[in-house]
Amino acid sequence: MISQQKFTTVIIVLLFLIVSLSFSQEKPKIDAGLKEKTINKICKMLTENYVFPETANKISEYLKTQSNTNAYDNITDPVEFGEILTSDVQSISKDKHLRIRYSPEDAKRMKESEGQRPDPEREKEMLQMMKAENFGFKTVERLSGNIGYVDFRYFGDEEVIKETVASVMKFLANTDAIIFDLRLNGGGSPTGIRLICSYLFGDTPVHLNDLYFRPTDETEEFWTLRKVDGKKMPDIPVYVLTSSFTFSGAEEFSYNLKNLKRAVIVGETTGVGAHPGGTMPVNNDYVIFMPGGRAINPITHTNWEGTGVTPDVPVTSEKALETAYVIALKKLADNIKDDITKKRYLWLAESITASINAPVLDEKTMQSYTGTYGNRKITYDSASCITSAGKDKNML
Amino acid sequence: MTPISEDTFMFKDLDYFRLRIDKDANGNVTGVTGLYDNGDKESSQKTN
Repeated sequence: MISQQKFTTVIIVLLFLIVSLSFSQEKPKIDAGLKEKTINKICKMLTENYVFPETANKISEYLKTQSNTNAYDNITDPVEFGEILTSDVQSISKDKHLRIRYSPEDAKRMKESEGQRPDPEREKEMLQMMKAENFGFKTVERLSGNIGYVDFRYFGDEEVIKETVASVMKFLANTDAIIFDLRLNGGGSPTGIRLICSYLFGDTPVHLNDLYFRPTDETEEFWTLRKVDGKKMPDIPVYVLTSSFTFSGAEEFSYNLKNLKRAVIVGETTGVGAHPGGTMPVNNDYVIFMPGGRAINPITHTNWEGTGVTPDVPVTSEKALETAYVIALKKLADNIKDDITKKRYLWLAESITASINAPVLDEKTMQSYTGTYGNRKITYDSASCITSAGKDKNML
Repeated sequence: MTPISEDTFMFKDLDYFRLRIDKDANGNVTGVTGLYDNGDKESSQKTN
């Protein structure tokens, strides 16, 4: 028995050592040489590609100063080094798109595919992943009062999402207002933004946004499409919900519709990121998201970098849906002549308002309401719950 | 029952109906009135 215990202990110690050794072998470390090479390459890439050359120079100067003053000397974890570099480049640029990440797998894949046509297998995998997430569309719903609601988490490329968008917009085609929930939307493709915006304007193309790219010195214009799969809804009231998480392409969607006075933005100031770009390999270990472009709105001639998109109706993101819902119902009530329908909209608006600002009644008041009222009975229990039940099962 | 004011309540999943507590001039509860979103009402006196 004792020898068996000793044997078991030895096994456990051995296993622990093996696991410890394998962990120590698996956890990579970064040396001074790789850190210096990574910084130099990032500086070169920024100088050649970053949307603002002067800012690129400032970032480069800062990174080199940091390196020369030994700021990175104690870092041995390559992941941490990427995070600190990101923090440092963003401290100068204030550009949240500009990010450096330790990922030998992505760096290797990108380097191997440079100058080559996209790998069909990889594209198939990506498509499958997007399908599994319904191309970002999480919820589409018809709320009471015939208000449409759609919650989606990113904007895929137009060609990839158009069938899903068509099905979503067809579902919403008979609603009297639409609420687009972008509170958890991190952005995406400008062609996807254009596609969804196109449902909200008439047949005449509307200038939504321009994207200028420094590496090619070209500007791409984005106008609404003349035709979409489904019904265009140029007159339907539109509301966009935002949060501080709403970022990049989701901000463009909000900014476009706000400046075209096509939507009311309800929620929080957005996350601040107006510089599109793409991920590039730095070396065999690191990749960088390089913002090579900037949005130029045709109305404001600028964008939301540095400010975010400010809401028309500022409210915490938690209350944005109910707030927009109430505004939508009141607008519908204002615009309808039929008195009964108007009362129903206002009735519903009052209920929604109460759901987020319900008054708190004291126990004495609630106790005073208990009793029998003809066929109806009101009871109150210690869990502060007041209920009403009719003798007839269909009666409240 | 969720209060929307001190004397009016709404019900989850029944957005067309509310219940109002009726009181006399002294604040004593005298009955309830069921309110419907189409304007219909039905009152019941307190019996117990």
